[in-house]
Order: sequence, then structure tokens, then C-alpha cells
Amino acid sequence: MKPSAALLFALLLLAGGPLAAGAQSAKDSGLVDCRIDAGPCTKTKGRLSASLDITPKPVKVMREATFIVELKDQGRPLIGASPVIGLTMPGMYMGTNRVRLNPVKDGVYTGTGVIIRCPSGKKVWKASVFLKQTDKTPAISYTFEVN
Amino acid sequence: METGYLFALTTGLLGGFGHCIGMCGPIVAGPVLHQSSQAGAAGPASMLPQVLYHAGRITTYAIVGACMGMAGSFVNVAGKLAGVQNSVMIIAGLVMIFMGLGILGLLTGTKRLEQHNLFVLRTAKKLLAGTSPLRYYPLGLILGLLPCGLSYTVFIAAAGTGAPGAGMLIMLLFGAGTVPALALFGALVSYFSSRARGLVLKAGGVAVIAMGAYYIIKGIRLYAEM
Repeated sequence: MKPSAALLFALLLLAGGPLAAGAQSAKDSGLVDCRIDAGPCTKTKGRLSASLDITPKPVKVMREATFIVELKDQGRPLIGASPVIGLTMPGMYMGTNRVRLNPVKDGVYTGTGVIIRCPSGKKVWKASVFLKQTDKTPAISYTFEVN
Repeated sequence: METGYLFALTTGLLGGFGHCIGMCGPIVAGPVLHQSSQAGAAGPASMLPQVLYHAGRITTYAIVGACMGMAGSFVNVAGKLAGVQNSVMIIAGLVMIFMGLGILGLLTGTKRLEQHNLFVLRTAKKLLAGTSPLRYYPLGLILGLLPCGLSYTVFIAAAGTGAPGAGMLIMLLFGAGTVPALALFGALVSYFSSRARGLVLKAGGVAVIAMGAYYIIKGIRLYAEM
């Protein structure tokens, strides 16, 4: 049997595997647009302004965290939304971990969730804020790194 | 179908191709190659180790899902399981190394190691030295406890049900959803390994050993991070 076939077979077993996943994690760090450990991240899109905060800090995986989202429409608190945060990993398919938020005061919504640990070592997560539970497109997204 | 169940099934189906083949492909390939190197089984019979391995894995998911549903908390159950899961990662690495040695025809050389009477070594040897495909069911049961980010996502949903039956069903559907991708990958490996003897099979054995070493290092690192 040809050595090249043997090499190809070994590569098939290793291709896209955990080794490759580890190499990808450095690339994911370049996607980060929110330093969540430093405080709330605020973004604006059209009329909507949204800030995301996660407590307690530092934000760590595999422990209960409180997600706080403040929504403003043209500077005024956005009342009556039923927002949901969809947590996904940019560098690997991990499904979508949905965190439902409830209103605590005008324009401010909170919910409890868990950011899971990826055994491959990846730590970059994306939090997409949907204004309604049935929305397919996120209003605003944040990409951040956890500890 | 309720949203939670549909979510579990689709996460399994999508994750099977987008996540599991990459992360668990070598673990699935190990038993297939190992069985091929021993019995040379081809055709549908060669799929039996895989079927049993997946059945074992899904059984474990279902049991943990029921526990999550009963506790109603992902963090509490996951916290208790973390140490066990990290150990399973190391065990998986050891099993893969044993499988790799078996594929290379070097398993007989482990008799000296066995004399040290280490439980893990004796168990791994017993599990891998036989010829019955039934041994892959307990292997699936154990490796179903491997730490896995994708399954964590669905475990959170299982915990959210607050009911053991619903938690179990969610994890059963998720596990079933992951099977097509992994079975396809296993079938491809089986197809190639049944035709490719000699050097190609040995290359597969070396790859399985390399991945086993990676799992052991990763398991030790996860312990250190706890």
C-alpha cells in the first residue's frame, strides 16, 4: 500500500479535529468587540441603542451569570420588549444557548444563564440580542472573551 | 413536537456534522479500526461496534439528562460531574492509545504493564483484548461522559424542563440526532479500513494513538483549570 495513502488516511482521522480547533481559537480572539470584564458594552443600530452587561465579574464559564440588557429607542427606554439572548460560539458549532430576559425597570431586562466551557479551549462567545422570542434576526450582537 | 424537543433534535443533527465529527471523529474511528484490525469484519457486521457504541453513549446522555431535569439546575449537576468528566477524558485517551496499539498489533506488549495491576490498564485490556462487539456498549456508556460543549448546551435545556422524563427525552433526541453524522463518518472509516490493510491501517493506528495522547493532555489541563 502506498505511503501517501497511509498519510491521507491518518489525516482524514485528524482533519478538523480537536487539534485544528485549538489552532482556531487564536483566530477567534480577533473577532472580539466587547471587553465584558471591563463593564457594559453599548452598541447602536439605527434607532436602537443596546447595552449588555454580565455579572458577576470576571465573567467565567460554567457558573450562573446574570445577563443585563438595557434597550433604548431614540434615547428613550424601550418598554414592552420580550428580549432573548442567543449565546453561540463563532469558531465552532455549539448550538444556541438561549437566555430569556424579563423586565426589571423601564428599558432594562435581566435573565440568568450559563456560559458553557468548550473543552477545546475556545473562549470567545457571541451574544445576540433578539427583541422578541420569535425573532429570527438579532437586533444587535456582541462578541466577547470569557475566563 | 414541542420546541425544546425540536431544538434538541436539530442541535444534534446540525452539531453531528458541524461539531461531533471534528471533536469525536477519532473516538468513533478507534473502535471501527480496532474491530477491523482484529476481525476484518466487512459490510453491515462492521457497523455493529458503532451501533453499540452510540447506544451506550446515548444511554449515558439520557441518564444525565434525567438527572439534570430532576435537579432543575445545570450548574449543580455539571459541577458534580466535572471531575468525573475530566477523568473520563483521560480514560478515553488511554483507551485510544490501547486501541491504537491493538491496531498496530502491539497490544500483546502491554502484558508487562498489566503486571503493575493498575485497574485502568486491566479494564482497558479486558475491554479491548476480546473479540465480541458487545464490549463497545460499555465503552459508549463511559465515553458518553466525555466533557462536550455541544452536549452542555442541550443539558441546559434538559435542566430547564424541571422534570426527569422530559430531561431524558431531550437528551435521547439530541443523542439520536448526532448519530447520522458520526455513523456516516464511521462507515467511511470502516469502508477504507476494510480495503486498506498494512501501512494504511497502521497509519490509522498511529493517528488514534496521537489523538489518545491529546485527550490525556487535555484532560489533565481541564483538571488544572478546575
